[in-house]
Amino acid sequence: MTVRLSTSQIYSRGLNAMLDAQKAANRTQEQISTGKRVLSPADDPIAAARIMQLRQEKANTNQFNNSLSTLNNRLQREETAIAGISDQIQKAQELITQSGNAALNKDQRGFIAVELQSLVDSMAQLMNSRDASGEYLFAGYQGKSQPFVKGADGLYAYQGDEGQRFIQVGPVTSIAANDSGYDVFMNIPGVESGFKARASEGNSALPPAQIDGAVVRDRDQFAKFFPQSAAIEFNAENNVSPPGVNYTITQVSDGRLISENIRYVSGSNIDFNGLSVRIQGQPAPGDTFMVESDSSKGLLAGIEDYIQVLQKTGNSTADRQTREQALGRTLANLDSAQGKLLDTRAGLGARLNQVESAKANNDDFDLVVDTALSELEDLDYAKAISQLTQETFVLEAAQASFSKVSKLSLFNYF
Amino acid sequence: MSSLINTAISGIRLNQTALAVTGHNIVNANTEGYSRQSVSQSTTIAMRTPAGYLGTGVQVNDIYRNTEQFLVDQVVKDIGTLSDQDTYLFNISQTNNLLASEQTSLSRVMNDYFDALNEAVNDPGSLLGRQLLLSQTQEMVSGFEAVESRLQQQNLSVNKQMQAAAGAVSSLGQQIAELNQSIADSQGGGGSQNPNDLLDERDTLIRELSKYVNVSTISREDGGVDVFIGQNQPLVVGSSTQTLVAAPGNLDSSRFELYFSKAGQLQNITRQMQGGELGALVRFRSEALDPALNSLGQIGLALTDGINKQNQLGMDLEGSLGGSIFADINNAVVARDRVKADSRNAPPNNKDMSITIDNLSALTTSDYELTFPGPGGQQYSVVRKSDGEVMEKGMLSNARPQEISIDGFTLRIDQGTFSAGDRFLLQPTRTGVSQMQVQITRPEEFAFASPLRIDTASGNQGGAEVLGSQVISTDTPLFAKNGSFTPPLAIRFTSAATYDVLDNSNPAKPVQMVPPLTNLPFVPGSQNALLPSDPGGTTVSTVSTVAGVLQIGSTGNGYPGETLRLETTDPATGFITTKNVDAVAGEQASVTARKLSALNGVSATAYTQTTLQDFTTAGPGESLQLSLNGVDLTDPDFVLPGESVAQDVPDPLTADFLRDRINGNSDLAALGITAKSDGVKLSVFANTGIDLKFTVDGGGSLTVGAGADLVSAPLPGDPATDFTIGGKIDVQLAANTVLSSDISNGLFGASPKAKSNFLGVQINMTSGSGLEGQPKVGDTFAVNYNRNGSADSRNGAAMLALGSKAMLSDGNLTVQDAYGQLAEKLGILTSQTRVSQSASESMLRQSMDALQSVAGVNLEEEAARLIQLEQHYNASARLIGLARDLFDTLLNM
Repeated sequence: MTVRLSTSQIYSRGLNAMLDAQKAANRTQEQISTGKRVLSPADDPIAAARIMQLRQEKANTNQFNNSLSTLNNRLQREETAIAGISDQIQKAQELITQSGNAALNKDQRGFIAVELQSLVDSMAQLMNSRDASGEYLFAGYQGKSQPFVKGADGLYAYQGDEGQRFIQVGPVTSIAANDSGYDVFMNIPGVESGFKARASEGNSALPPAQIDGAVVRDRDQFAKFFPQSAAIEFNAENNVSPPGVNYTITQVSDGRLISENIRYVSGSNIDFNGLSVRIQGQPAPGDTFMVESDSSKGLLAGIEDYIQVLQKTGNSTADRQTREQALGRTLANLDSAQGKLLDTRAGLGARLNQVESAKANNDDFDLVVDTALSELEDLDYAKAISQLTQETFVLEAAQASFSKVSKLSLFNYF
Repeated sequence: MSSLINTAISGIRLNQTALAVTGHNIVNANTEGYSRQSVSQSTTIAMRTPAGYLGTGVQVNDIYRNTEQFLVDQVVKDIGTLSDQDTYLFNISQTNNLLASEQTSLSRVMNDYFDALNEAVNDPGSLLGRQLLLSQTQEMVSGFEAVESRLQQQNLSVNKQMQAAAGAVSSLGQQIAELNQSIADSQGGGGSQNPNDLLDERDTLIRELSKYVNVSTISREDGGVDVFIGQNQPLVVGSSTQTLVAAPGNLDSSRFELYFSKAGQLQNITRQMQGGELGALVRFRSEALDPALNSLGQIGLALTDGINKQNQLGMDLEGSLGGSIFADINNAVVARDRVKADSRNAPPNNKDMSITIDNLSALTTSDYELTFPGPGGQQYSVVRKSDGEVMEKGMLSNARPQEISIDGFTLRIDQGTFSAGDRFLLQPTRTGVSQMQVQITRPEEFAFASPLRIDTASGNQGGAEVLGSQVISTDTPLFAKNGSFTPPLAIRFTSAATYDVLDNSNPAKPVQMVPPLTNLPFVPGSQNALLPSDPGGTTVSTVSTVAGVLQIGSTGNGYPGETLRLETTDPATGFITTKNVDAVAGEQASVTARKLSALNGVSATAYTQTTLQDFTTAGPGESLQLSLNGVDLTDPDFVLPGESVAQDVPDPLTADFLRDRINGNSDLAALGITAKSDGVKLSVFANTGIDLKFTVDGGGSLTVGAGADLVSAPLPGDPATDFTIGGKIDVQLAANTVLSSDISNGLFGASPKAKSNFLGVQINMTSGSGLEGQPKVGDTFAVNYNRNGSADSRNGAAMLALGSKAMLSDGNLTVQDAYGQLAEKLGILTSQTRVSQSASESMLRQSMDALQSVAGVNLEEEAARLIQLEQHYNASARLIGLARDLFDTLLNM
């Protein structure tokens, strides 16, 4: 059965074929010039969805890599500071051993005390290190306040807290980015017990009254008090007659009264249970000062204790004995402190290792993802070019045959 | 002769006609819609002659066009389908490219935001990182808004396309109606001649019309054609036509709908529109554009609400609790915008309705419709548009406000009287992107720190340590004052396995919390959550008029015995479950507490405490003898652990002496009994809640309890006097649980008062399990507001986690997943449309081909016909010449 062809059909068939061939060739050409097989998500929706997922994973890995390099910088800084402090501790240990020489006189001991003090100051400077953006490394969460501050009594006190910041470096992995000054320099088990004195947070006097001069006067008495805590609470002025600033001392755990309604004199010592503190300033009624037993000995406090012993003792036998005991204690405390630093450095080292291996893992992962991405969206040039060759050949043939066939017309022969 | 000429003339006439028709075919070979015309000829009526029937020539019967109605209809249908696919593809490609291209992709925008957040959180004290985050937050909102506005522009473009198409349909309808008239007129002449060119023209118009919408036709007797569009909607009937207009919809005025307009009345026929451009536009809008806007809205809501809520749980750089970073998703204006009223709703116009989003995870990307099917204005029905499911049905009460909760959102009717037939469009997620707005202005306001600070007391001897802490809600009394806790807390261990949470407002004297968090259990060696974690949880405590009342002369605690009833109401169904606990009369508090704790959602702790002071003696040899729970505290031979010799019993007794005797006795320690002394007063505490049973003998007296009740030694010869104190019980109840008693003077009083015990924070602690690692008595941890904690990033870490938290779709999709799903869906639709479009293109080619092969002009054919007709004409002309010659010959005779 012959099917009748109209003239317009002849033209449109030829034209359609050419248009189709042109479209195909154009598309291949666009693929070749962009290098991508998947030009728009509609070209291969399943692959496009997978490509989006892979790109997302790359973005995540990138984010983790940023965190890792931040973490690396911080940990390195901390390492440097701790290494420096470790060296200072060694110097201090040598000086202290030196000072135990019986041949030294008071002046010479005084010089050693001065040297020790400058060591303490330079250690404090390292402990107050800051990172690139000005944040204190060892202040815990109190990043904007200097952690180790010299008080009016010339002794360093820790103003930071126990906070530790964690940085996420993997989908479920977080690594600590710092160690608080409390952990590294304060929470060191001491050879003998001591105590801490501090003003309570809710004190209302302005300017705030200060408490310092925390010293154990009588070891035996204090040992009976340890590990209790006491509170020095300032009462209403008319608790005493004639009215005046006065305070009451109670033991916190059982409410036991230690001293009641004692008249207050700014700057004078307050002694009880074998210990002594000094409050200066004008406390308001209701202000509280806590005296808490402390079995730890901070790094700086240990050396400062010894400096005081060196400065206060003379050449008497009793004094020499005091010095010998102090020497033994201080060296033991410094050993513990050094031990704490070593532990911290070991921890830092482990964390730095973790960072390195996490980075290496991320790099490997990136490579895998890149490979998968390439397989999905990159063009196979060999295949595409041969396809283009074929398509252009088909197009040329269509064009040539079209012009030949369209020339044929009966009207040419009239 | 004359017949010969007539015959010849008829031949010439025929050939002239035929040549004219052939010429008409040739010149119209390229005219669109032209059907090849042919001449049908037949012999004229023969003349009867004696010689037989003599033919008289030829006549033209008809000039007919070669066409096949079936093929014409097929082409019309295929044009409609192709136009549909073309329009759909055109529109959806734009949407697809918008969402998936790398430059505009929201995936990249969100990643950039979380990258900036990561940098800022890793250095929380630095203003630089925060400033960059602030700019990046605004960038993210701009990115979302840019995409959303492009989509809204597509909607405007759809509206415009609809208008243009409707106008074209109306004008084509008009033209077809006019042609119907002309064709009827020309056929009305009585003849059977077809006005071929007019018919061709009408076919062309119908084909043109099918580009805009599906067309079906029915022929009329008078030659006219009735045209129906979409699903049998009449456009042209005879010579009258309807006007199709596109105008703002009744329910949603931003979306145009299609109406037949007649004498000012509009009849909505959008749902019946299928095929062609109009069908594609309606389908594109409901399948692709609106769901895309809703999906984006859902993502916008999740991001803003998630980040807002997390920021509010933290502390900013200036020490205040975090506020909102973005505008609240449920603010009054946005909430009202989510409800649209149908313009045809009956007055009064007093309706005040809004939608608040409660649960992001349960939100869908569908719109909803609230209808009042009647009768009356109380019966309502809410339908989800994506699948047509009826979500809620019922009667509206007259109470205002009234709330209907569906799929994660709540429709709130504050005011309004409704009538049957009222309709409202509910769009919970449509405005999700347009409502995104950055509300914070200063980088300090990002709350990366946690407001919790926990300090270990320096005197702690045991190994308890804090593992971590979380802020669950800042909407509790604890956070009432900005900048400090109300009250600051202290966690103090009273034994290795019990601890108290105390009010540490005065660090010198920590006191019990209200309600009490006393004597709570701790498991050394495992992770313990120290604080109540149920936001609706409450604590009920025994009343001091019944529990812990001193019973002189008795070894029992005097408790009346009762049945305690615990009723739990299921918030979803309202179903109440009841459990009963029987407390026998005189039962020790420890036993009752154990029975209560066995129930689900109930945790009871019992503890007994009393004070003894003012010890007197009747003289040497007649000193006071005191025993506790079977242990003689005044035994002169008892040696304290760690001592080698028994201490002398002081006369009168001292609080310190008794404290040492109690704490040094292993039997009492096993019962959980400890003692404290402040030198004057002896406090005895049993952390198990067992009765404290004292016995006095000998001579002297002492006072017991807060009321200083005097207990004297019995007279000589009389048996020893007993006195007993029972324990208190604190019961922690889960949310929706209520405790009551069957008697009015029971342990918990006539109407047990339940007080909320939820602090909004949680602290996790652990300890070693051995003797050294366990917590020791007196170990304390202070919980304060984290003032100046600028280096803290705990809340920031939680904000970062939102990027990978499955916040959507019932906990299955993260925001990136949701976006990926949307892009994938559009990609698949586009790809499918491409395939369909190319298929329908080739189908159209085929049907055009089939039609052309019948109706198309073949120039070669016409050329051959020309030659044939020319010859024929010459022959006919020659015939005339011959007839003339014959006549001449006759004349010349």
